[in-house]
Amino acid sequence: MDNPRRDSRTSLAHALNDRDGVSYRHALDRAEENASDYRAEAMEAMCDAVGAILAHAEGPDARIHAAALIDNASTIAGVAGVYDMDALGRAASSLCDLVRCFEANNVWSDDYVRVHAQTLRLISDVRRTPRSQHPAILKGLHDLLESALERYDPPDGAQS
Amino acid sequence: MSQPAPPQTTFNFSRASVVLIDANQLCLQVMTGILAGFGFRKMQKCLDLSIGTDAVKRQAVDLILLDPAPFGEMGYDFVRWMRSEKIGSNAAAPVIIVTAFTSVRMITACRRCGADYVIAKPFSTSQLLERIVWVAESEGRRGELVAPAEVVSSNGSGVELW
Repeated sequence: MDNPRRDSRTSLAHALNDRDGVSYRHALDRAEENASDYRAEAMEAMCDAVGAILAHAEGPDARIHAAALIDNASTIAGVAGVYDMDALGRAASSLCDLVRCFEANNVWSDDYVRVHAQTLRLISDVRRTPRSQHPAILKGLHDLLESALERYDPPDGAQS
Repeated sequence: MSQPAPPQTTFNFSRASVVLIDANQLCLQVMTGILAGFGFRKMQKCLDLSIGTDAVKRQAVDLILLDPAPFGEMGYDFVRWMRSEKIGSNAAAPVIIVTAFTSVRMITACRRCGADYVIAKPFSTSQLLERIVWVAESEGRRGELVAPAEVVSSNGSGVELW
């Protein structure tokens, strides 16, 4: 869909290079300072979300908890990057894509969900999982998600 | 993805109006705090689409940040409604979709509904600022279908829509 062209500059465009403006660095510092006010709450929320995902994923019927899996994963993905927990956020985002894929195609695989949940636990255990391991962990999860998408949501509609 | 804003770029977003729509209260709070740090002062926080719709109807809006995922297809209908030119100047307001769902299907839905940009969750504060400054810089050029250098940003956290 084409976007209608705007004929005049808006406040957003006029905001640039304003003589009363702040610098890029200054804006970032203030933003991160504001975000730090919610750090404790965000950390607790992410911890609770990982716990909830694990409980649902490792229970007898994870499929009935699909909505809760997405809610909790979305919470993690929504704030993790702000608090320098990018790997946790990416794993959560992967779980969101996985569950949505299952829902869209009316399929389910407990195994794929459990691996995601265990990966979230692994990454969130900062004492046992150093950051240096995050790229490899995320690569493995990415490959897993791709295999799920290929199997359950192939481009040509054919499922294996 | 365009290069990050140069260090000497300054901006004053205090007069710009932003509507944030996200069903997750924590995400909304954190995003609001970040935008306040960037200098935004006129922010309408919306936990659901009906509040967001009222906000767009009542006031001139310069930027919309929306996570459509909790609302299903209605999230994309909101953007389509905005672009339908029934709401005056807000029809062309920049829309940045912020979402944890980045499958091809979802990105395609974002493009088709009329959004300008997709920011993938998780995002950092610097990534959010870069995208907002890019949107501000690109006003008046949207719709020209200028080919981007890359569709997905090099750090994997943004997708340009053209």
